[in-house]
Amino acid sequence: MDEQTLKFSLFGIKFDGTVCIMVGLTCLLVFGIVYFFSRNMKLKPTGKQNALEWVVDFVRGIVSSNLPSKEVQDFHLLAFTFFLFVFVSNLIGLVTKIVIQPGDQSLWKSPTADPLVTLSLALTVVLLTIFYSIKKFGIKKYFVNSYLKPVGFLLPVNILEEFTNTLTLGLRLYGNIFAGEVLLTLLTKVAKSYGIVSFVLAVPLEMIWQGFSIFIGSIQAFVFVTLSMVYISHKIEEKE
Amino acid sequence: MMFSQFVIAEAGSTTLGTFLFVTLSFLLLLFLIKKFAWGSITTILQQRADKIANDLDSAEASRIKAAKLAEERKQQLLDSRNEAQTIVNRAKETADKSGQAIISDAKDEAVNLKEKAKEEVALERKQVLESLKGEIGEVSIQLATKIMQQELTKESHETLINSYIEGLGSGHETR
Repeated sequence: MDEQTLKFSLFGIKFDGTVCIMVGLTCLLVFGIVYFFSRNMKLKPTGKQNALEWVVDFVRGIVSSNLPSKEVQDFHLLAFTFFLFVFVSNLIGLVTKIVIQPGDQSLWKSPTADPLVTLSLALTVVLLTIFYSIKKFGIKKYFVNSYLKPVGFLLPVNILEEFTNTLTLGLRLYGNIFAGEVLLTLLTKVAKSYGIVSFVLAVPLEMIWQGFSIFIGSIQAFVFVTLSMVYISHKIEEKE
Repeated sequence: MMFSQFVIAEAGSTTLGTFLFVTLSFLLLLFLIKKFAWGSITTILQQRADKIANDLDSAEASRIKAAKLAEERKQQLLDSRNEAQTIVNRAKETADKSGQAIISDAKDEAVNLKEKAKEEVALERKQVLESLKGEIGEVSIQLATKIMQQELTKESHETLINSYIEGLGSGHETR
């Protein structure tokens, strides 16, 4: 299952071309949707505005169930962007699959089916939690509040937790989406294996699995945002 | 192996590149959404929240005002009813009073008329009696003259008649 991707190098740093294309496409899609849906907003919402407001409200629900109410406004936009970004990333790989034959290079996949992308996102989340904690308490109090409360001897565990949080947050998302794509690829191979018979058999299976992957992708986007907000609340709430 | 991707130090690894690209794309997306869409979304949500709050407030105010108006109307209705009652009572009183006055006036007048009529009747009777007195005297004189053929003078005869009639009159009154 080790698919190759386009690789190129710029300023001495190596980039993964497929991931760059898909991340760029995801950003474009998210921004395009949000921009288009937020034109001409009215007090009495109609059509697309209703959809956008539903998403905004949904994310606000996630944020406000994890953070104290006076902080909700500050993290609403962050959670909203994370949610849409992860959601679109999860779903975009289900649309199609493009492979260039020489070298078997894949051109189209979910950005979140790449462990580096999900770990990058998770690292961004953890760095943001530290950033906001320092911004709120200052470095010294941040350290005491985050690592020495409720008791001092938990310091190693608390520091270790930063790394495990990053890993679990990233790998959970990666595992779910990657597994979905692997099975889709396998079903495609089945479809190709015995001509028309296996093709006809595989199409409904592929459809069912795509539907399930949409479900998984939505759940994972929700879980990702929820956990991010939980981590942030751990860091910015003052402990006893 | 796919786990080779986690090894950061490996030659040809895309870890740093991917991390930079993903993080920067994400931050750029965040910035773009904040700049071009978030403002209008939060503004409209805030406006709606304000409008709903205002509507609720003004609805409450109008409700209170309506209740006050109804109370006022009720009071006014009560006042006018009382006033109407007073007017009717006063009118009744006035009517009673003037009715009494009319009746007593009529009574007085009737009494007066009766009185006057009585007086007139008495006067007439007196006149009749006077004239009768003269006539009877003359007739009896003529009769007596005819009968006695000037045995009596007119003067002595008249005194005789007069005493007779006075006796008659008193006899008439005692009856």
